[in-house]
Amino acid sequence: MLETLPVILDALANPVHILFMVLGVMGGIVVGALPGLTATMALALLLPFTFSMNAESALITLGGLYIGGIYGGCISAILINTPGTPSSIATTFDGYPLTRQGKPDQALVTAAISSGIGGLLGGFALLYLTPLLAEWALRFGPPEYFWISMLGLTMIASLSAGSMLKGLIGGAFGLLLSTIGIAPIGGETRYTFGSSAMLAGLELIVVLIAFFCIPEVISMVEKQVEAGGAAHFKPQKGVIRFIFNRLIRKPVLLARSAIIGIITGIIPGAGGNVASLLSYDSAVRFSRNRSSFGKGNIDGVAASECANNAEVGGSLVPLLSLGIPGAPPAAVILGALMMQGIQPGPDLFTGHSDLVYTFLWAFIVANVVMLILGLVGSRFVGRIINLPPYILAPAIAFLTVIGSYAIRNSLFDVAVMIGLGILAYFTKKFGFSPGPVVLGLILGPIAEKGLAQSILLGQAQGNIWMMFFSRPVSLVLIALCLLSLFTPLVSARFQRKIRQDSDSVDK
Amino acid sequence: MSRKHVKFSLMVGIALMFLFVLSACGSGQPANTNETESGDDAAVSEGDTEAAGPNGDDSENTYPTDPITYQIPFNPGGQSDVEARRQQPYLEQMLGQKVVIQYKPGGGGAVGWTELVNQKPDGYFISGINIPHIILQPLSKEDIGYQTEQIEPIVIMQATPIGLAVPKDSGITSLDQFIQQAKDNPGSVTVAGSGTYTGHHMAHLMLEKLADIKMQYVPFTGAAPAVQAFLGGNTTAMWGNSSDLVKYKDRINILAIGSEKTFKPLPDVPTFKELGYDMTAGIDRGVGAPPGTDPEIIKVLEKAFLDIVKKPEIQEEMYEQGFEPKTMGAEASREYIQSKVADYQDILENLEE
Amino acid sequence: MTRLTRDSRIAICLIVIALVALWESRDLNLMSAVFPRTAGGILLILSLVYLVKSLVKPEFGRVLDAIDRRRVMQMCVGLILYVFLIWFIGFLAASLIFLAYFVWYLQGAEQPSRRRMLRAGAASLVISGGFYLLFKMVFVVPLPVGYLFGG
Repeated sequence: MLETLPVILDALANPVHILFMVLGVMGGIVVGALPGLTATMALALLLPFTFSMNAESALITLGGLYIGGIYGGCISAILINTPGTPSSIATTFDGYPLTRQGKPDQALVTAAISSGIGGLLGGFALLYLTPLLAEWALRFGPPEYFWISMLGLTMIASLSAGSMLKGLIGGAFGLLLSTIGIAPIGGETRYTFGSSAMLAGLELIVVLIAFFCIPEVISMVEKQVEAGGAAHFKPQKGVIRFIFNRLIRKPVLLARSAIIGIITGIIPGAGGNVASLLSYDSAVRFSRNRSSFGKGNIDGVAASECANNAEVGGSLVPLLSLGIPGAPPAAVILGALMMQGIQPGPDLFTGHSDLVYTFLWAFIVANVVMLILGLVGSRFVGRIINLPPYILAPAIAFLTVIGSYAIRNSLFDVAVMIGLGILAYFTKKFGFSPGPVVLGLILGPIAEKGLAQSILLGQAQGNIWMMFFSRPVSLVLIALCLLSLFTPLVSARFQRKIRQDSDSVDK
Repeated sequence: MSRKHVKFSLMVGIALMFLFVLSACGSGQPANTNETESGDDAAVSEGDTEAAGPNGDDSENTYPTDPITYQIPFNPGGQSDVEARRQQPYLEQMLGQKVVIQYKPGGGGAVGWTELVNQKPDGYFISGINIPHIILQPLSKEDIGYQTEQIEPIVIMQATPIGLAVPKDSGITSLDQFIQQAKDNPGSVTVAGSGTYTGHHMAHLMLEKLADIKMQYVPFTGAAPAVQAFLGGNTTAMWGNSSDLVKYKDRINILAIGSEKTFKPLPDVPTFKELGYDMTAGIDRGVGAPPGTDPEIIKVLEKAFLDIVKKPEIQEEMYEQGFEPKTMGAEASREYIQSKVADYQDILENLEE
Repeated sequence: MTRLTRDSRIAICLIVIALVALWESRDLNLMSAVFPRTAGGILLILSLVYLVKSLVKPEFGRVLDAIDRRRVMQMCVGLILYVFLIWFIGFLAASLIFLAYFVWYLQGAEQPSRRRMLRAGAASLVISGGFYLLFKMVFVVPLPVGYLFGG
């Protein structure tokens, strides 16, 4: 790598490259912030513009856009409870409550700083650990996918606010929703009830908008609120320093979130949404102050954002080393590489080392750019919530409609979004929180493929149980599942005991 | 009162910001179009009927005047994706319009093709088509949502023969050895492939029948996940598209390939026919339009696609990456698909016995 | 028989959904059916538990009382009409109407009517026009033109 240093420095000092990078990150943030427009879509849109560029500029711009797009999702997650990209689902859990308390700047700054840290850690992992991590990616076979989705489902415990039973029901309902359409392995059509539009299944983003955003829009009009809204936001001085000081004291939280993000990223097929959820879940579990989550704890925002930006670096690992894209946006970068005449794979690091290392360093610098832009922007975008609710509610409704249409150009999706959204508003009133349903929907396909393929493989080996319970990575995941299942029980008992003790003292 | 004023000026500010973004991007787009037009002697320019190019094709209406959606019914990163990405810049140059690539994976492509036949036949929605997928799905399922005949083929431009591969460290170096292993352990040899009732699945069933063996086929949702699972050692072998076989040839032993003759990029690999198994297996990739598309529109697209495949540098690139270039136009593609329908009907009936 | 609590009614709905899901999977091949059957089965068991719980320990709470039902209903119906309007008269026109009406309605009657109208018109024009152009020109998303205009 040292011998490529002059080339890298030369490329990165080029003002045109810096400009492209900044524009890429900015464009990504705008696209990411708009629900329905994803980082993948932005990358695909930009692709034609990169033909006329040289390989370095093209990759630098695309990398910046990818990073910005994943970060941008947090803005709408925090301000209007709608994840702009699926990666920032978990950011809504604590980010939106902060907004309602009039502190969107705290959430936004937290998101910017933790995204920056996560992105940098992901970038360094990509730079130094790619060959090692690539072999890791290959150890994930069907049973591991099954178990990682089971591990994800144990999160229902931390996501179901209130009744655990209702959370479980929501999760099962989400799993069932995920089976609509053509079976991934069996190939038959299911639950389409004769409608060809249902063949494609439910689009995750459409359901996310329905479950998170529409209930909020309706809640906004529940009561006649005088202009000014429930929360009024005035940018505070010193927020950045305040948040920075808080986050810097949580190296374990950030490191754990980044590691979860990187690992999830290198597993092809599990995206930033899974990363942010797993990371949020672990933040809740390891916290001493669990009841504060979901009510505006900045740790929740930090965990989610740190993980989903670390995932970006992780998702490029299998792409650069094996030619297998770890996430949809990474696949578009694969396309860009191929059009520049570069075939990702084992020889990429030796054959095109100048380009690869330039890209990797640019990737790291772009994370710093994102951090700066995020911090600067947090002073301004938070003001959106100061719009009076009579404008804000219809405007958000409008955005959800255009967003759910744009994702697949389907009016049917808009109808599904509105229908599910109204349903979600009422079920939320009845104590069913949207988290578990969405969780089931995200993890359902991963679980189903893993389950069906493992059964096929197990049958061939003559022992299905061995398939699920004898592989080393599976065993680790099973142990994590069990740990995850039993910690809430133990700690609930523990907390109850403490409460009883303190009650008796009071008496 | 002043607070409300602030809010309103803020709102106007937001609006202005968007207008700024718009104008910035708006000015970028036409500039780009101009560039490509001047670079390509204005053969096709948007909405410009007078611009009779070198071909004097002035009977054309103004199609295309809007961006074209080019659907890929598979996961990003698969072979269909690679091909579309290769064509995208040339198409945009030739048609003078943006070409937006959109993924719609699921059901081995069925979700995307159902989408295709339900789209408006206005030429602004085309989709990658794969043979035998589009033949086998309607044959094997009754409620699949589209019929083979509904898809209007525009072109078939590329083929990937399917080969059978095992890991290098497996010690298996020939098809005979592999078949012997499958005979010794009936049903326990697992082979990864892409999708159910697909080219990979058919190749699997054919080999089982011809060699009189029983193996376990394990479908994945696309070629990339199948390759990943195979490289990770989850299956004994893999049905792989030639392009993947070329890409990973250092890590695998390719036992046989389903092409008619020796496949140029892999000269040392025998064909199934040469080894005494009378089968060919491959996936042909093309592009299709919704039913009822105006023949004039098909002609415009057909010409654009064929011009791309006929470029020598494109052909060279295809061979290098393990693809076989094909240059079948709309009519030839239709006949080819019809002949294949008959073939696969026979195979399916035989296999179901 | 006393009136069922809301929880019991929701539980019954869920049981019906689970049963339909299980019934619909009857003709599928094993690999297509294994997962929906598992999910449906789990949902069925959980819903039964929920039903039993709601019958044994009924909870009477009124969650919908604290809200302005009329405004909520207006919003729900408005959203559904909005989708229908998009299909019928196209995205831009439908959005203009939707935004103008709701900005007007949600301001409440105590606002001076002229200012109310002015704000509604301005907000609707700026928001739908701005985003329409943004999506159409920058993101090249073809927005629906409406059945009435040959969509």
